[in-house]
Amino acid sequence: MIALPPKVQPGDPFTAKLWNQMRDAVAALRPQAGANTRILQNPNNFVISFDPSTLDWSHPFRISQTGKTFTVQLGLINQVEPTIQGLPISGIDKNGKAVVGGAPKLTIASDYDSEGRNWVVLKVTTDELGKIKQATIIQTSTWPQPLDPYTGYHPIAMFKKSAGNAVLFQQTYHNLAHQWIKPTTGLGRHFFWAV
Amino acid sequence: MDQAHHRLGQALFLGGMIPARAINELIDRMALARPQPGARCLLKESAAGYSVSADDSVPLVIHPWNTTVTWNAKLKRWEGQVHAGFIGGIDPTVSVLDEAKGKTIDAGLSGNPVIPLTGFVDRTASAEGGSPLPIPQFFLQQGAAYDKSISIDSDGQVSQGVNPPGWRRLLSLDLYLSVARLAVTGELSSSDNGDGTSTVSLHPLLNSQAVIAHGTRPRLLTIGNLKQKQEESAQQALFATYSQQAYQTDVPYDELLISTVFLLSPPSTDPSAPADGSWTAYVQHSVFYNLLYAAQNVVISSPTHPLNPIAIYTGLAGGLGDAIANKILQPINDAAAALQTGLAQIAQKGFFWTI
Repeated sequence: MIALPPKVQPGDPFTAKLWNQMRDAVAALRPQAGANTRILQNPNNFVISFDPSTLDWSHPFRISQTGKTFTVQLGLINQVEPTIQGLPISGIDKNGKAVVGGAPKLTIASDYDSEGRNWVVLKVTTDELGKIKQATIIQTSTWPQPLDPYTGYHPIAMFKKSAGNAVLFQQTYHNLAHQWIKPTTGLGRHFFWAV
Repeated sequence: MDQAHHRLGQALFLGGMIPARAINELIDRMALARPQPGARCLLKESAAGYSVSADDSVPLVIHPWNTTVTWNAKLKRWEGQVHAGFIGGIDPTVSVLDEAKGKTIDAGLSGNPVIPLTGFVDRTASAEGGSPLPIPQFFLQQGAAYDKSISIDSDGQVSQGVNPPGWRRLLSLDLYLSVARLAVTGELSSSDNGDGTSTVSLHPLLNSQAVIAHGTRPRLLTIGNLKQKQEESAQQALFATYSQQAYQTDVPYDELLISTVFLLSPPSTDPSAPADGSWTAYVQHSVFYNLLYAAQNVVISSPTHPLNPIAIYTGLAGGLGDAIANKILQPINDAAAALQTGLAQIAQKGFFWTI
């Protein structure tokens, strides 16, 4: 608490001590910036600004990082739930029961490309008619090039190595639709879009 | 001793020994202690004091391609930073100066490089000078207007005018994505049909020079105004094609506007004053999500399997050339339409979409 000068009575002298106490009290009224706050001191006032909390958006395919591991929030592609190491990413099996150990986790990979990048990728495998047979979430330090007509890849997120830390860049924010265009030449094309 | 103290205190009665300088200092300190609300700050004043609270009614959204602009007082220039966005999983590159290496390098956007912002266009350049760029309504209300300090009439006569009080100058710069791709070029040929008519055809070729020069990784670039650069009518394209005897107008890259940076001068600014830190920066975003990209067609050609020719005109010999020379619209438009239809099957123009 800022110390105030003592109250005075009529006839009390205005002493140097009282003056200095007043001066110190006014000086102590100058604000200091606390957490998420900025103070700009001007000659005639001071301006208070707040750095707001960022939007906490719980969206499909959101990566939730805990230490060196992460989970992927439930997101669907053509209404199909992807898997991580064979387990549904929600941690709930098709019978509505929680899988042992909860939502499957991936460990942030330690290998990065020359620019310090590592991707979390949705890998989709289709049948000859383009229907999704399998959707899995994998990690790769090399952006995957399709080698067969029935496999397509879509970016979910990217980790960037920076000052020894893995900085997350989320890339997909919505559920997805997928269409495989049968090839007339080459491997055909896999199209993904947000729904 | 006590008496001496008492005498000193007596001597310091207000109006006796407190100098004006000290009183003014106290007033200055009071002035410093007056609060003003800044960004996201709610302030309520009353006789008993004031309350300060954070306005969290609108949470901050830092989205892909979120562009921030700052004035670098040391280098005396405006600089931008773009929160990394991705195209098909890949962050684009930005050309920046590597001071350690002393040369320009391509840095990935995920490394948060600082982008020098240069090449602004003057939105408030004299309207008589033909500035086609509109001034957004927001800036009109802030006092931006076409510069009337110098005007040039239709006879080229220069006269001096006066800008309204509080006149403000407005500059802008576009940040955009560019993806190099194959471009369809080709040569025109005319064949005699043997019945007094001829057929003009385009023999398309795929030009890969831009891909060789820049690769397929997207680049984030700046330009005064992207729309001006892109505007070219089909008629102009055909004219250029025919006059140069080659199809030249398919650009070898696809582009997408990311954001526009506006710099607004202080009121009553000198029209020739440089845009320094006293100006205010605003950003208008055009893209808020990450992107995917694909070329329109998958076309495979080789010297032994060239692309099929596109017939764009059949008629009297010399007819298309004469029509272009005389600007007769119908055959020009018909040929332009035929060219566009034929190119649609092989065009490499790509499309961006958000995810």
